[in-house]
Amino acid sequence: MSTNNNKVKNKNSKKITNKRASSLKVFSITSVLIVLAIVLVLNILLSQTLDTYLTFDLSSTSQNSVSEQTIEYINSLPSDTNIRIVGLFTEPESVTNTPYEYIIPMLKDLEGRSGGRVTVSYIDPDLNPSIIPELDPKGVANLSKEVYAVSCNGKIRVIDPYMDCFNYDQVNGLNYPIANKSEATFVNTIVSLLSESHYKVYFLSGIQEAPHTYLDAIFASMNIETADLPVTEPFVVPDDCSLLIINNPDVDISESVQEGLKNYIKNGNNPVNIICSLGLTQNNANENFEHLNNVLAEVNLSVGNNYVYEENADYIINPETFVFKGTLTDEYKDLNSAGIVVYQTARPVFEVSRASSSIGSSPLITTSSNATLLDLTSPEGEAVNVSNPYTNVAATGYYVGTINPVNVYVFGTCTFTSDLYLNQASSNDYNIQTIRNIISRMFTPEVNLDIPAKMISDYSIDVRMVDANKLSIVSVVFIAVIPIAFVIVAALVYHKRSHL
Amino acid sequence: MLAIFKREFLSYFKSPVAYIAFALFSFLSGFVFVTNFSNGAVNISSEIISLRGFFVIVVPIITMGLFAEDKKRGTDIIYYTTPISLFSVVLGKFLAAFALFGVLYLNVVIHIFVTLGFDGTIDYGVLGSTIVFFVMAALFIAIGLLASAITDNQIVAAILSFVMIMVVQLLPTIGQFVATVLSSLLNVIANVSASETSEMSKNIVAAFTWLNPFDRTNDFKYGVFSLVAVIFCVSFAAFFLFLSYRVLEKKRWSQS
Repeated sequence: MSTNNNKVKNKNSKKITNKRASSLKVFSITSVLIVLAIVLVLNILLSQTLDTYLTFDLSSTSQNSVSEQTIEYINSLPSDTNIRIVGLFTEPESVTNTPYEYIIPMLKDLEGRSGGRVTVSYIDPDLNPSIIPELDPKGVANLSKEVYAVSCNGKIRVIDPYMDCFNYDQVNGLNYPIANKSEATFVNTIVSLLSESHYKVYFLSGIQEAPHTYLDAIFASMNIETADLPVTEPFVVPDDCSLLIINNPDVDISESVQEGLKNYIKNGNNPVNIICSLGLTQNNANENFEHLNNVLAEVNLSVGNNYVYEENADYIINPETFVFKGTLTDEYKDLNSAGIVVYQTARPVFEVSRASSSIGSSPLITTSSNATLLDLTSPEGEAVNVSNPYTNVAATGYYVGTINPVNVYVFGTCTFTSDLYLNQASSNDYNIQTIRNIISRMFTPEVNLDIPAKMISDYSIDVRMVDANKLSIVSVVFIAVIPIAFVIVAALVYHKRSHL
Repeated sequence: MLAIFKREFLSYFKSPVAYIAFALFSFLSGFVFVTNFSNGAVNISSEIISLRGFFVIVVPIITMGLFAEDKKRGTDIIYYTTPISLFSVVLGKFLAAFALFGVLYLNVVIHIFVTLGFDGTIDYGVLGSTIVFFVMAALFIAIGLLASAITDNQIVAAILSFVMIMVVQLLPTIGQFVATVLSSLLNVIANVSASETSEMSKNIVAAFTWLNPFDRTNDFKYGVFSLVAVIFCVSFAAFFLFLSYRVLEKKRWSQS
């Protein structure tokens, strides 16, 4: 009887214990799940709501954050504004020592503080080819890989992270970024996309000029209207002209057009901007452009009637088709990221004697000191002696001290304005960078935020203090002496313990 | 808790483990420093952030014996029989390992002094990176502690924590793999369209990346300080500590 009672007691006690154990088990699992849920919810809430406000820029020059001025401007835009910034590449995992080190964190901050007005994404067109027609259905921006596209209200601009976001200094022939202007570049691009443009560009027509759909696209992407300006008689440049382009004509202009252009240069209402290309073609080889040269003489320039021919091997690309490299002069070296350009069948551009002290001119693109000029009138193409060892392939002329500034860019080649070259090049091409920058300098946004460039943090040590001996000492101490010392101590401790 | 902390911390120096960890860490950090130094530019923030990648090796060495050793010897019974809270034991051991990371960090302090000695620049970004160094160390020590609490074999504990930290480190890659497998399965079995699976894949990868502390703290090397990322590491460290506590507490009721 008592044995049975004990059995029952034990059974009951085991039952109670099991019940207790299973309730503790449930409690234990539940509590873990609850803590996990709390941790997840807390972090999701923080990420979704307070991430922007709880992120601080500790860099010495605030490289990673946008200025109050930018935040104020972006927040002053209507809340339904949709500015899309797309990096046409896969977001790099490591951005150290690349321009993205200064751009990606800044754009994250801009996106975070824009109240949804700005979205930033990274899409590689190789992996997702539909992104280019999606961003630029009309193909006006000629988008390609490795650039940022900024679009809003159907308008689009291209920002090259290397070219447009930094100020460079040249040391030993190499470009070193010294200041980060990416915030200013992106924000002023947004400003110009959202502001109405009153600029108008005219292409002189009726002179068997080169096609210009590529330049049309550049202007369309800048929201600038373009139109043809026929060489009618009497010829007058319209008052609303902001830039006149003479795009590689095969025939010279008439005398009345010459007078009209001279009058425009002297008395133009707006700032006078002219881009004139006079590259050699089969059709204009015998044309000496006397009237056009008379116009260019107003700004101390003229275009010759010879081929520029390079003799320096470093500058030769294809001598049979007269394709050579040219160098941007110091004054204009920041027009592209390399300081070099490509030209084909170029005429020389000369600076003629100064007609007035108020007129200035300067070379824009030069050849090597070995270049010669080939005489077109000679059937054998005899070389012409050039007194100046450096020949200009392009130059600029300008008036100094007049009320309306006058800027004339003259190219002795068609490779900067004609579709024949531009349509075959990528948007990273140096010539395209150059012409884009010349144009964008003429058309600075009418409203511009003055956001200063930020000096790039310099983590350099004083290399004068580091000689080979010191470098060896530092290497040996940190890589060998200290670790080996610890290994020896570890061995000693182990030895001591094993003998206890 | 203080007594446990003191005992554990001092015991590190009575065994070769701590010195091996010191040797390994000083070699790895020294290698990073010397590489930068020989290039003529030393960014300490960047160095500290890159040291996170070595936690996968150092943390298992430091944490493997925390509980596994006691379990093996049977001395863990003291935790259950003395009037001390089990959570205090967990916290004391955690703090001891964490303090050891403070000692490891002295390597970086020496690098800072050498950099200053050669006219280098130390900016506020170093402060942010240092905080990340310690909060990520806390997170991984908590993971290592859990591994040590699960098993009574130090080697198994080390392997376990190595694998767990490696998984955390590879979360985006794992996410990518999971997304690809799921997309293929849905495509074949349920005939779901490619655009839908692509959207789903993106979300899966984003979710895995969101859980990755490395990804969250990467921008610290540029001087970006995100308190949300710090809270993420601290909160998950707390969760793993709680989990370790629960694993140890299991002994109370599972054997009763």
